[in-house]
Amino acid sequence: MSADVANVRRPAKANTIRHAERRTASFRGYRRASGKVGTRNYIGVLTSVNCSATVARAIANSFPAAMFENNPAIDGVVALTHTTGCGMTPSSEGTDNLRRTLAGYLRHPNFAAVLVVGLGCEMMQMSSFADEEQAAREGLILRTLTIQNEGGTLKTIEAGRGIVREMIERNAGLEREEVFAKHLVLGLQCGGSDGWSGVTANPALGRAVDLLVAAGGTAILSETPEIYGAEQLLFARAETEEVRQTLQGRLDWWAEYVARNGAELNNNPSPGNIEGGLTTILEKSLGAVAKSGSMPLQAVYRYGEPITARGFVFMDSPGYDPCSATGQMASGANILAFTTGRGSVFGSKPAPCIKLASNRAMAQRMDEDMDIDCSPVLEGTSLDEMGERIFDLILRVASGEKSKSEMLGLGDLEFVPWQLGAVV
Amino acid sequence: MADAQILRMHPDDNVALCLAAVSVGDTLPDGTPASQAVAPGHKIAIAPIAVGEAVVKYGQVIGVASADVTVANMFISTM
Repeated sequence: MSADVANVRRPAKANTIRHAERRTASFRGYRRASGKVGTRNYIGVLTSVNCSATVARAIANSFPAAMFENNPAIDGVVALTHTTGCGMTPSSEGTDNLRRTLAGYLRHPNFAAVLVVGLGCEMMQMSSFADEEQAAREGLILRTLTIQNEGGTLKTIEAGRGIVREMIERNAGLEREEVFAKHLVLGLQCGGSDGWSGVTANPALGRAVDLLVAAGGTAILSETPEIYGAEQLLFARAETEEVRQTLQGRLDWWAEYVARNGAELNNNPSPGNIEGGLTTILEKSLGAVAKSGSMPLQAVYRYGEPITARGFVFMDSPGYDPCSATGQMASGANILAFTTGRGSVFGSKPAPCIKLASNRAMAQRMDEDMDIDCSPVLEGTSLDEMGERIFDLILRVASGEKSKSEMLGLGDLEFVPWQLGAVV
Repeated sequence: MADAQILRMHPDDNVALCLAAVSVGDTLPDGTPASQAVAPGHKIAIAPIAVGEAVVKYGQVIGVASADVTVANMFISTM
């Protein structure tokens, strides 16, 4: 079978948007001064550049997870480091991606407070994304340190430890409050898809997305190369012509980008996808888009751009899962739902990630990683009922129940900002 | 020989999802015996598809047949 369907393409079917009845749902979250609501309460240690990664990790490692087992107010201290920040072209798409990502993380509602550590001379200057005074005006708790100012590696680690200790003390006694589900921003991911994904896990998650949107919440679809071939379904759901054109613009960018790099968008699926029964990118994309439900598409955002619209939205990103999920969290996702057929072991911080298995064999074999087995829809459980179960789990995990990937401690090494452009 | 466990997801589809492994000789709902073994999660043709014709799943075109496909054949992943 070939994916070259230009001659047999049919226009997308007439609008099949469903309008689920509005409903009320709530969860227990952390209200922030910014007006946003967190589903977790981490202290974050971020870096402007790879040069400060070891220092950032050393600071976070001084506060191991065991310290917080009996501290319900804090979920932990997490260092999210990256491998770039210098040797970049100052005004380029790659630099803009990294700056938006870091700016988004330091404003993430799942952080009670953030310390950013830099070297000092790097291209990604701290002042370009992390300004303590500006942050204070936004109601954020932000501190910055540079190794060159502090006088070296050990002195910076010591100063950082002191700052984090203060941040922990300031949060003692913080409690969750009952809030409406409109404060949830759900990042949608799928990875290691198979022939079951488009029948069980993805459409079931789509029903949960419809419930969330009906309750006033937001859901983000991403992974632009993996909507290739199914874009007509999203165009038909675009709320305005401008939204449709913005999405078309991102797809055009991708077609040009992969051509420039000697690749093509229809060389997906991966060997594992094929072994799992998926033959073409179109088949994979149709399954992938099913997880976005049926509500109107309200807005299209760049990678890591702050999401302000409510409802179903799209954020441009690569299909590479950790990179896409990082962009969604930078855009404001405070919880993620990830469908998988082959068996992904993804987990994330600061937003927790729920994993949905497409088939029973894998759900049982990898029970320690899977939160929900969606295969019962093959045996008579309706998609609506499975969607309700997923939505219920989303609300419980948003309220503090640990997902499987959280219990395994995943998420520190899954921070992967989208790198783009020349390294010089 | 058993009945093939398959799921047609949309009335327009010309391929169906195999819910369980299909063995050679298992019968499709229209009585045709399967001419090939198909693994669970993979697709089986439920209508003849000539080379160049659209392959339809979920009511949407997912590709174009690169060889003539008879009913009850599986789809092999050659692009």
